Amino acid sequence: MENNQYIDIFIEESQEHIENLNSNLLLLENDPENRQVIDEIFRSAHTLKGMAATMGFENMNKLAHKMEDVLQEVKNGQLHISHAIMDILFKCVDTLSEMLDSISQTGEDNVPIDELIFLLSGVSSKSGNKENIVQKENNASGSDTLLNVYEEDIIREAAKDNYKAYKITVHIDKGCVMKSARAFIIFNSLDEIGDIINSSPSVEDIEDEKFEDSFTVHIITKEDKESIEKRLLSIAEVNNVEVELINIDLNKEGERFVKEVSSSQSQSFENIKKSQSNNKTSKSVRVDIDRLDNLMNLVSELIIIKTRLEGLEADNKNSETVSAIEYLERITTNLHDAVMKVRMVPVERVFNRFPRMVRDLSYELGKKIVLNMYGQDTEVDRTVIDEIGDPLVHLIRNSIDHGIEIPQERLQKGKPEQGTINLRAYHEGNNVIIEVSDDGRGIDIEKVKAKAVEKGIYTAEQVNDLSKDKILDLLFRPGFSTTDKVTDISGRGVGLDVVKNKIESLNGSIEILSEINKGTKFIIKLPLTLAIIQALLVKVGDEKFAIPLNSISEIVHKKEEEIHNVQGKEVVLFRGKVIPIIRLNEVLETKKISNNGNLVCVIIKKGENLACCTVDELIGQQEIVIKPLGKYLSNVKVIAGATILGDGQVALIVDANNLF
Amino acid sequence: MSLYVIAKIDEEEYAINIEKVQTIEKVMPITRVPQTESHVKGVINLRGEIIPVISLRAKLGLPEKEYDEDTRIVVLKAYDMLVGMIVDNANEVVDIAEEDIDNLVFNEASDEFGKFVSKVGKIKDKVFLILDLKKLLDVRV
Repeated sequence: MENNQYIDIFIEESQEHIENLNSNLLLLENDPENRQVIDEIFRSAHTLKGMAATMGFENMNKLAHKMEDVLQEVKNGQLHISHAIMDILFKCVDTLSEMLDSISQTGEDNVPIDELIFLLSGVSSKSGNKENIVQKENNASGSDTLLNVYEEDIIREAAKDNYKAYKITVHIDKGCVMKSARAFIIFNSLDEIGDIINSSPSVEDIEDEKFEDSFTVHIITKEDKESIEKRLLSIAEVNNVEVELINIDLNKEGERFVKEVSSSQSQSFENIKKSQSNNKTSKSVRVDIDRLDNLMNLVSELIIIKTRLEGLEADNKNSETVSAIEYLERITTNLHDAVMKVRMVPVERVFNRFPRMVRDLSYELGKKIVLNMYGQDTEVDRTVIDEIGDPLVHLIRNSIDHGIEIPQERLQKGKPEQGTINLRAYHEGNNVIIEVSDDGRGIDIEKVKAKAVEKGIYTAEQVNDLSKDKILDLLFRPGFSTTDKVTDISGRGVGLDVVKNKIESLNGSIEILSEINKGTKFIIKLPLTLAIIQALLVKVGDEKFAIPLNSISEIVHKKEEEIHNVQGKEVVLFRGKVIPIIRLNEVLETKKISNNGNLVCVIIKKGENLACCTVDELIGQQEIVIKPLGKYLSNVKVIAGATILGDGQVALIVDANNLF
Repeated sequence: MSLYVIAKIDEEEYAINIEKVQTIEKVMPITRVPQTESHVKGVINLRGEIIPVISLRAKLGLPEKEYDEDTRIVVLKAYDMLVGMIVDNANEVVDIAEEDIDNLVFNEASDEFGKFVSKVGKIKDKVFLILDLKKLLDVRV
């Protein structure tokens, strides 16, 4: 068995444990007496240690081991959680994560750990109580196991040379992913002390992972029971070991049953709770992302064909065919939903790094901040998840740095000393909403106004006529910052405009609500997926284009004479608002078709702003698969991509965000 | 020895290293893309993949010609992208020996095709202009 076939699993699993450590350490910091959390942390460190040892990563093993020692003392109540200890533990987790990065890149865990080891040794009380194993008596099991004659002979022969035979049942943790690797380690370990006579299931089956979470081996060795137990329990993810001495009647040769005497002693190494809390992992399957993408592509192709069949259906009067196609349509829709669900990941993936960030930054700035997170299990497509991390980091940093006041200031204002940041995610229709809000000082409208005048964006008179929303919108302009001082945490020149750009590139939108001294709230709206969307197919000239439905407000008919010219620009009155006219045939450079003065207008929206796009013909709503135009055409701004229609034709997707 | 696909524009023969050629297709419906330069003809659906198509004629500053039975789209695979290139004809592959390939120095300002050719290959007395895809596809590296 080669180690490198497990390295991916190792990295992924370790990442999970490191994330667990991080979040549980945060919990512990707020609730130092929580036994359950301590156990959880201890277990993660222990598992990491074991996995690192399995894979031969010495530094990682050593560090996790030292952590485990310290945690053991915490667990036993010999050591009390203090700020200093927490800091060291957090540093350990950071270092472990660094190691993991280094392993995934170079295959080595070459990260210096001496300082941390020293620090850890410093806090450890060195009481010398290394009795890690909690012993528990178990009922004696009197089960008889069948050994074949040949194996009995071996035992008998060995007994003459003072070898003892044992039946060993090893229980591996249910959540263990690398079961066969683990078994391999166990076998190796047993081989060092004696000879394995047989195993059930067979060695081949164990290598192929064809076993549940336990297996039984017979071994002859000179070691005693306790040392075997100790040896096996030192291997990570071994939950339980039952060792039974086999007494063979030396005189009764040839008898097939071997009686097992000796009460079996089982040691439960880890909490029973573990098997419950780990159920989740054992029910999931890890799938390579490329395979998922491939599946998604295939489903996309299927949707294209389905659409094509629907087109043919119109000419086909055969009711059999019609119902078959309808059935196919239902199945493809369900299949699409199912695949989309597989690609969905909870926003937790992004959220779980924030508690740590808030903790570190608030210490750094001497502020007291609590972060509440809601709706972490809200699911979003993986493509979206990967992109929203940075914007959210930016917004939260903003809140910590500029939003929340220092404790004295808060007290003076009659607010609780501790500031609150709420991070909330929820679904709304086909969108996911993420809100970042704080109860800090809010945005000073007057200051923004002054800045706008100073920057020459508006004159003093213009600025006073602007609505509050419009003024807050100014914050999204490049280079617009109201803070006087530049700090390390935010305000490094990249501002909210970057956040806005990022979110708009995901077909999403962002808005700010703010009230002075009450707080600020950012509301981000994102589509659930980027790969398949609902779109309106239209004809402009004699070409077909798709407009994403989520950027369409409504469709209206207008007459040519309703268009007015204001300062050289065409505008039209729509629901009491003057909105610009965008003649798509000009933007898209298509043929001009005479329209007898009647205009079909698609009202598109970009945040609060509306515009009226003229098209020549509406074809209908359709589910389309977005495909990129490719790197060579990446600078075409008005086109967001292309889609393949049922008849194999390519239709371009209009990027409504870049039309005005 | 390396193999080259021979693409023709009028009587001029251009050679493209076969390793940079993904496939050669007959002309298929091309969807025009707005707001692009004139040599960009649009995009095609190549078995489910969207691929931009350019015209070598337009690139060379030659007048366009009606597509016919011989017209081909040579799909180039270079610099992490797939780009189709329309040529008058492409139905020959030649083997040019390494020692028969020479660097060429063109006066880029005056020679239109010199912009995209930096080497020539010889087979006996025949000369092929080897296309420089980096220049042809405007790759700025």
